[in-house]
Amino acid sequence: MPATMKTARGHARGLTLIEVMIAMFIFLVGILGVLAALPSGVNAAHYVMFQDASIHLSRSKFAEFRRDRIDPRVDLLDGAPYVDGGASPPRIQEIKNGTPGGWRDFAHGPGDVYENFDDIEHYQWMIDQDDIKKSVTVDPAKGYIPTTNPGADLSVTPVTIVIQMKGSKREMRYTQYMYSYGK
Amino acid sequence: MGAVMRVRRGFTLAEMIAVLAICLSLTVLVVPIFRLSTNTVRNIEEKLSAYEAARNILDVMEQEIRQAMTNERGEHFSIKHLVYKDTDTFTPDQTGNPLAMDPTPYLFSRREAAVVNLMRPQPGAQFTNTNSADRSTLVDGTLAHPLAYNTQMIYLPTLHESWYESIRTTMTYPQPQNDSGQNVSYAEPALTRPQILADVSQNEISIYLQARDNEPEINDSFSALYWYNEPPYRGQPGNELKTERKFKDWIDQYTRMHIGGMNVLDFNCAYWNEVDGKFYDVSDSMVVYFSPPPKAIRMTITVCDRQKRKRVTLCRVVQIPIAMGDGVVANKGGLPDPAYLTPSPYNREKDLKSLEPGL
Repeated sequence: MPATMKTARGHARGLTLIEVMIAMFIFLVGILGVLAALPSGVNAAHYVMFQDASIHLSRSKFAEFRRDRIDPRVDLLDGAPYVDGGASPPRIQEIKNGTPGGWRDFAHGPGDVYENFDDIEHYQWMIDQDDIKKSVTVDPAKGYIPTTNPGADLSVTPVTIVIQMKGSKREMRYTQYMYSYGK
Repeated sequence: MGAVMRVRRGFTLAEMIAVLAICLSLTVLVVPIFRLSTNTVRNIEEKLSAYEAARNILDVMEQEIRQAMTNERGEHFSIKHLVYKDTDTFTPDQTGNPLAMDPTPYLFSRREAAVVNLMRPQPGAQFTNTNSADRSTLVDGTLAHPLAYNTQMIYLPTLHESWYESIRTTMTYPQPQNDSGQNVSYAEPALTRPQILADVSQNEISIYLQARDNEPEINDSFSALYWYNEPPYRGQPGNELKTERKFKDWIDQYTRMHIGGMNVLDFNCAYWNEVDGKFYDVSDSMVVYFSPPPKAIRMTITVCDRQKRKRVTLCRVVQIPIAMGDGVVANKGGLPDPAYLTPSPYNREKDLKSLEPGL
């Protein structure tokens, strides 16, 4: 049987409708495959925008902490007056928004700090409670100075701000080492 | 005849019509999806580019403002707040009345234009070759632009005490026009404020510095430079940098920086009031002089690109490390102080219109 089907008179016949439809189906699958790749590009772009926004927001939060001369080992603990307290001393940071994990909204009501930040209602933040309980000691192997007193407490606290896009698992973590201002 | 004569027939008309109909149907189905997807990608990429530009602009401004300092002369940190009504259709009028100023910032035809004036140290960037025009070699370990600005004079580089710095937009203080007599020359004439207001994408952040402690003057008789210590009032209210000073020298190219490309529609600056625990915007057409500076400010910018495709409004809180001021403005909510010179405390709001009618 030759590869090309022939009619009894030896004429090469055209493709049948079924064959064309199968071909079109394959074509459609290919197109859909290409289209399916587009959302991943959109997601990646969204992710980069989230990264950009979270950089602004984390730097602002660190600036707020330094502005308020906090002791991170005390003031950033859950339940501390600075983050969860009442009027004395005045609480500056946002209260928890009730979602599991201890997330906080960025204050964006009229007159609030982040009032005019685009899409701010989509973001929430928290302090990594494990990090602020860590102490950083002199470790010459890591290049921490001074190198003459290994194991000594450097009196700095790793403060990690986690920023999340609400309704997703996208998170960015930013860590800075902060001294206590001692007020 | 051994060869069988074969006729390869093609598609019938009916088959072709059926295939084309199916193909057309598929195309019609796929094209809107494709268009939607590509539009989404394009929109996001345009917005992403605005986000990136905003981050770059805020990064540069933040590193400048964090260096604000006080000195023994009690010189001031000031924030001016001006608003302009643009004529660009990219930012339509909220009320439809082209004569009325929109009350809502950032979204409509109301353009926010802040000016932050500060003193900042000279952290380094000194040149090894102090007596020649060769300024290519920095002292080892000193810092390079933009954190540090190099010495200003080509003949006699000197050690500066500090710098006056003014961060504003070209909308607020347009660049000087070409002036051959003053060695101010641009490839294209600088845009005027009406031109910028007609095309808001042309508005740029402008950072302008002037060395403190050295007052150069050319003595034309000897073609030499003379240096004078600046008097104490050089940083007082009313003497902050406004228009870019024109020197008979090359000062401009080393002490002026415009951040262009992706430009800002708005630049607003609020100050932290320690007692009230909140940021306050400076009232329209007002200036607040601080001494010492407030502990933090909040910069808000709206960014678009030259094609005016997308824009984004972002803010950033900036702590000023050396600042110890409580940010309480003595007459906030009261009458503005109409005079430049006022006894301390200097955290006072003043009426910019009465101080500077030109604005």
